[in-house]
Amino acid sequence: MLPRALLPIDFLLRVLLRRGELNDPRSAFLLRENEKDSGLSVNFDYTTEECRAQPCFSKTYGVRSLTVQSVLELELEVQPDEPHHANITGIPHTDDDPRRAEYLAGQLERVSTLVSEGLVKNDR
Amino acid sequence: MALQPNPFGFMSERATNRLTRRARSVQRYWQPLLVPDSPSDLIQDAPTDPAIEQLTTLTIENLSASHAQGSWSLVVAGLDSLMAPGEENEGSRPTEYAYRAARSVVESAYGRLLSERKTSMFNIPLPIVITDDRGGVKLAWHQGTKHVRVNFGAAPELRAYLYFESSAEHDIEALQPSNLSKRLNWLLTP
Repeated sequence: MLPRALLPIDFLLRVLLRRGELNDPRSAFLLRENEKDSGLSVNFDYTTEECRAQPCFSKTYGVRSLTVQSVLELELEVQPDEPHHANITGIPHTDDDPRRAEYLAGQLERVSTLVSEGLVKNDR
Repeated sequence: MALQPNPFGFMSERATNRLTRRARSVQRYWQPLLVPDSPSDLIQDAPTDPAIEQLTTLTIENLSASHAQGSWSLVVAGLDSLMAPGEENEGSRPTEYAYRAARSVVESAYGRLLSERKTSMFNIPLPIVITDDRGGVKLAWHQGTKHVRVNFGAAPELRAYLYFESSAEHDIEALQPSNLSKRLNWLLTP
């Protein structure tokens, strides 16, 4: 099934996988090791509960939400690749360009909102 | 874990232990609120714990001096808490390399700042202390619109850097005690 095209008003959800991403929201928007090639992983057309219940996550600490429009205004792109998943591309990893990576993470933090908080464990 | 100097030297050992236990339980969530903005705030917000109530009887000078040391001891406690065994740190414990690098550089920077400013450090905001997904250590200080962030890589070959940001500028610098001391001073400058 192909993903639908995203509109500027669509909401993106970023799952927080470590407690540190909850305590230091900016770090939630720094590329993780496994996102170096693909981009910042986000979900859409999910509730926060559905988002956190995905079997790929053993435990989650929260979810932050932001609009596609706010990402585009930072001259980044949102590329959907699955019905409920997209990657925000254009963000460098801190290994490659920490100055830009930290700056963009700060900008994304500012335009995002914490919409779910607290440890959730998934049985796998 | 190395023995730390008693940050509350004017209190009894029993009271100090109680205060330390309380600080460690609260710092799990590592809220900047742990360090009040001024000694007067500390007095106004005095908690009900008898050990902490003793603080209200102290002079402002004593509070300033003790808070300066306490601030550093809380930073150390934050770093140490990352190394603690338990489910909370499962999968996000720092490497020994990153932990030691962070302790060394931050301690040295605080020491420089204290000596250069010739004042207590109770105005330095408490940093957020976290790990990254590879076992590196990050500390982040915020004051108003200014941010200072340091990243200690999990291994020598991984990048370490100091990042600073205000509404007017942002850049990175080499992660050295002198640069961190300078940037923390910048953070405190209106």
